[in-house]
Amino acid sequence: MTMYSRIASEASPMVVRHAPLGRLLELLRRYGRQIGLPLVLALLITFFALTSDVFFTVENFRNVGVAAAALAAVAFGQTFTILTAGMDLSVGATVALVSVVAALTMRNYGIAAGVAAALATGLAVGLVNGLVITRFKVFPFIATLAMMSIASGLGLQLAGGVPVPGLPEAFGDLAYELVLGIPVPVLPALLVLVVAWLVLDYTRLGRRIYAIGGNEQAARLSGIDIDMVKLAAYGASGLCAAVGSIILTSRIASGQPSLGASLPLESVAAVVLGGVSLFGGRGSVLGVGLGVVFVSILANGLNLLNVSSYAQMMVIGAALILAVALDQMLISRRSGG
Amino acid sequence: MTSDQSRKRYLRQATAAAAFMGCALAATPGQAADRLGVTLPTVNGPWYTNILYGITDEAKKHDYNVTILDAGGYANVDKQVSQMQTLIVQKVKAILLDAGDPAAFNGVVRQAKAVKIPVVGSGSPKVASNVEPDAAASSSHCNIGHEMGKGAKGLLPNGGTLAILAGPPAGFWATERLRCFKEEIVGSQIKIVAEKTSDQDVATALTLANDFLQRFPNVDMLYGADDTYGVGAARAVQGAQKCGKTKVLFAVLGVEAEELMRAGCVDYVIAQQVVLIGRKAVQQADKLIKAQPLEMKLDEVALVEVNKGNIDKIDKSTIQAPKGWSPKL
Repeated sequence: MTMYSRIASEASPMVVRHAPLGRLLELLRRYGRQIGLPLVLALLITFFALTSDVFFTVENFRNVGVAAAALAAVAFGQTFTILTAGMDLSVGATVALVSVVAALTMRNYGIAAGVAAALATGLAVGLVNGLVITRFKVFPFIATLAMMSIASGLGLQLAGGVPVPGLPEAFGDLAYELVLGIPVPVLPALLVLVVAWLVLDYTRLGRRIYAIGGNEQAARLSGIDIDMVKLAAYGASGLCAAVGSIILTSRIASGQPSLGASLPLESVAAVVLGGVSLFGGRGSVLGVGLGVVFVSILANGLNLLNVSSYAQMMVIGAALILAVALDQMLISRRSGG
Repeated sequence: MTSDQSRKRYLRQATAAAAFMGCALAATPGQAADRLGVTLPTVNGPWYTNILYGITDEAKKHDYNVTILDAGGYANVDKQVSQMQTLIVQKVKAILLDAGDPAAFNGVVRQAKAVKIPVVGSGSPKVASNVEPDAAASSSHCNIGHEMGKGAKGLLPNGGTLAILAGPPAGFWATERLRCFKEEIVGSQIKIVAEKTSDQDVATALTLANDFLQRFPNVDMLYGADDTYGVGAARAVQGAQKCGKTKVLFAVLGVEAEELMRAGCVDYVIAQQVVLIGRKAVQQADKLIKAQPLEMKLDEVALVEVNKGNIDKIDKSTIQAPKGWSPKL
């Protein structure tokens, strides 16, 4: 008899005596991964709704949506890399570089050219990450950390160290417009979510991404081209970071070479909170959407409660530790440890 | 480690993290009837401490509560825009704004005006590149640059070499100051040998200044965009035992800057009357809220030239917060 089963059997009389509680605990144990975050999110919303009389308003939720849109796009891209048991630390620097490239292109050649250049830049950064990881066998953490420095320096170099102004007014105005009551920045983020979900859940590429994250050796032995799949995952991350950057650049109506500094931490937090395992192979991009909502509502609520940005950084870090710790507990329980 | 020990370890970690989150969330709830919103790119540095003292002290006299939101750094422009939107949702009576990059604030300032929330520039005459503020209290960054230029020419009458700690990469105020400084020194024999932006942090400025002193051991002067950079530069000069030989000039007089000037390692400071700027911003906001006429829409607050000769004679109550005061964030 294992330690765990002995504890479970010894606890049985207590569980019988406190049946509703025992059933609740059993429910949480069995479905904790699925219902945990929605439950905590509901509690968080309730807390903020009770402590701030402007939290539960349409206007405030629109603000949350706009603030969350860029993080969402970046986090959905980050999901691809984390599912392969990797990570992309360069997302913040990619956002900054793309912002500068988009702004420089846009003010000379128009919005469409700027957006195209932005997407191409993000994709290029992601593919370079993928190549470094697959061809040169550099550990993803190191490869993307190095790319963070390169992309950041390149962005600052192109911008001359200062923001790039002079974007078309129509591009900046987009961030403040509504379509059917939905802020425009939310729409590309939703599009990225839908595309990511379809790719991960309904395409061969998606299945292979999960397979590699679950067991890379087994995936290799089953004939999956690991390098191509990882290349695609990091390319997707770069492309999604570019979408996030376009959203942010529209919001601030300028190319900012220091944009996105907090995005690596926030995107990983959103992905892990959303139930994607840092060890790869498990989780859903829809869960990441909930993770994004959690992080954004947390930040919004803390602002409404006048909590300083320094305390907010601590809270988000603590939330990340909590999510990973609980995830580890669930893993070890599943594996009978 | 056994699985039981692992589980207990994870539970301890999870509990500690949850408790920490709970403590951090225990902040001041709700809002008062009359509240001013203040949004800043950062609160790091004496300039922000001093202006917040001016704002909060003056707000208390006018019976306002103050919500202070800082974005945590000049790089977080998008966050500052979001925070301003939060203040709009909170329906504060007025917003005192020091925009990290005015180009990013056109949309959100228009949003504030659309719901009749006055926007007052606090420390900067510009709140947005294409939208006028309802009022502003500041010193002109360009004037600061010009005065620093005059100071540089005074310190180096026969010319010399100059290295520049240019300020944060995204700082409009720093760019403007430097632009006008350079205008002022045109035609003089002062030659700029190095120029670099960096994060607004004394340690980073110290490292940068050390690098300059290594590359140019005989550099005649170091320029600091404000006292965060100036103090870093002065400490580097002090460490290299070049106080008085390598001149240091910058804007904004903080407590550390004062001490270094007395030690002979800072030669010239253009001090903004930062406390007074904060007070005037609140006074303007109060008038706008009560629909009273403003004496001046853009109130330009005079600068004070500070050097070793007059450091003990100037009135610092309009420049610095009382010693030991810090904002409650």
